Amino acid sequence: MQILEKQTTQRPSMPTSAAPLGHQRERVRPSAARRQNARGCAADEVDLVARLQAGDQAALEQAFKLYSGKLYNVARRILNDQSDAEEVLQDVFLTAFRKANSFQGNSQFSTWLYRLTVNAALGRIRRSKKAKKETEYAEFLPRFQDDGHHAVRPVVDWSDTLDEQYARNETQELLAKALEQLKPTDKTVIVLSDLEGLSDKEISDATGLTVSAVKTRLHRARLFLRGKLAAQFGYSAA
Amino acid sequence: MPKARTPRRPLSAKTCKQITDLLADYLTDKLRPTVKQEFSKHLSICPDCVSFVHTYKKTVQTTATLRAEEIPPKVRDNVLDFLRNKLRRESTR
Repeated sequence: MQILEKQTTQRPSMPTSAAPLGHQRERVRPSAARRQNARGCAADEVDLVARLQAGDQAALEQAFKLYSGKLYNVARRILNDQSDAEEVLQDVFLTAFRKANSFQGNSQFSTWLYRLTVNAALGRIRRSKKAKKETEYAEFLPRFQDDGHHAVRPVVDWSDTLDEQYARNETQELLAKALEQLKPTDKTVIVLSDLEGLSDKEISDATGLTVSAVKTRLHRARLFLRGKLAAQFGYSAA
Repeated sequence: MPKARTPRRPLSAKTCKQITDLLADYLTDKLRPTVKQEFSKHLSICPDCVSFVHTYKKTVQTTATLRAEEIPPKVRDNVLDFLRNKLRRESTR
């Protein structure tokens, strides 16, 4: 029986250094990216923050060009709504400019921006007048017997047939729909981890959850997504 | 006389439920060597858990390939206009 080889799925993280306007796609010089302060901020990021703290509006536009794509993706995924995500972006960058002095450099600047985005998006959901239907996870989580064995056996391995039987677009659509059904905080954690590639500690910094809570929520969210996929393919979620 | 310390029982990964609880740390190679050994030992005798690990891992991999929600140019322009107007108004007060 083949044991899984170790593999991590990490996406490239947000850019950590500012590039001149109009040249955001250029790679950052390695030497510049390696110059970091004691708390892990890249030298260019430190410069960008300093300019924001000095009230430089050009720095705000630079920060927007660097980070708006990533932050929009996070807000849009959490909120499932384009106009809500747009308003969150407005709030985030206005706050980043007005309260730049409250950024202490205890985390990366990008993590601080993620935190502003998560707070704005989740706050928006809390204040929403829309009817909230809480997702019930139990049906899609694994179940076990009293002795700890799987309750439904055999567990079918559909991992290979997924690529063979379903077009990439179709799988993506299924998974995106399942993602939308996650509880807002769980969705936030999985978006920051599995889509944005943040570490558990960075997600903790961005959400205010403990690292332990991040890990618990991330695992539960993944189990739910796995269960949804299994059910879609006609197998037991358990 | 001081009490003899009871040796702590090492975390055991014997059951399928325990294997499932350890999956996230297994995928990122954060299991302690002894636990990882028990994890592998369990997989060598439990096809159900092998299937579960494969499908869990596939789910994580597929999630990571979800396309980013691209920011529409209109949204980008709207937000930039909002910020510029807001800051211009504030600076002329």
